[in-house]
Amino acid sequence: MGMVKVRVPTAMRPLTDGTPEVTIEGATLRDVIDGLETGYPGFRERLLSEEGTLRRFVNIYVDEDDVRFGEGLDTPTPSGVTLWLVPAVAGGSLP
Amino acid sequence: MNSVALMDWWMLTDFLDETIHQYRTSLMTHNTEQHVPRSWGLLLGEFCDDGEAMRVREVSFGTNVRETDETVLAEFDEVIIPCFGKPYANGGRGFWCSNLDVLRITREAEAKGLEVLGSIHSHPDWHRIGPEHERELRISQVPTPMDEYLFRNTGWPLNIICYLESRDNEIFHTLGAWSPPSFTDNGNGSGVQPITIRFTLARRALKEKV
Repeated sequence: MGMVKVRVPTAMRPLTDGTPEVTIEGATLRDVIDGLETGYPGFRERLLSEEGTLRRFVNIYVDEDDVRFGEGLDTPTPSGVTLWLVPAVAGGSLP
Repeated sequence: MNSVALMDWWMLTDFLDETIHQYRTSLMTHNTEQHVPRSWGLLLGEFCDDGEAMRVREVSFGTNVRETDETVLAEFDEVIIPCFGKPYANGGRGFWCSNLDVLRITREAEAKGLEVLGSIHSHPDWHRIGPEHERELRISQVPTPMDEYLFRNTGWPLNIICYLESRDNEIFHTLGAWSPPSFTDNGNGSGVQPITIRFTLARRALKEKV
């Protein structure tokens, strides 16, 4: 299994007690999310919907590749890749 | 808990220039439904060692995909419009930054030793300049339910709203800032918490002397 660097955005930093990068073991994105949840509870809920799909408010990139347009949670995570968790930046406009 | 945002007073110049441009364009077209005065940007900076404050260093701009991204359109159609009202069906309302741009800006920030802290966006005084049927709505300088929903789901530690008002033949603005509600309380527990914005004073004096 590969060791994956996970870049944690400030929006999710409370889950890692402020740590900006963690290393997780996992052969696929699904494994890495399981590993994140084990080490830092709360990640699964932030990343996945109740149906187990990637939340619309989060995008995950394995190096340069957006997993939403690839193999999704089955995306391979070979050793040495960097996982970027990218929360949406969005806002409204009403009184 | 970061309860203070520090920044230089000129930090928001580009954002405010765009805000004024958008607002004036909207007034000139006399059709705020067609041209919604919308401006927004990403706030880059760092956490201060005291554990209480964030220092905003830059505002960066990205591409708005509110009306083009399939995932975003699905979110609006299936959740936001049913929950928060038909006005949000107007694609000119609200913004959603391209995820690729968020990633790019994140990496560019890191190269400079900065991080993405959150965002800023404008709220016009809709009850003065909006469509007739919406003028009973008073401007409210607290986050709307839609704001809270987005703050919660995105989770960024710093969310600034720039409130605009037309008065005395000029445009005025004020800023409000909030931390996001807890992600796990489903909106039933702690809501957004205000963040105090403080601008540098000494630097202002120095800059004006130069």
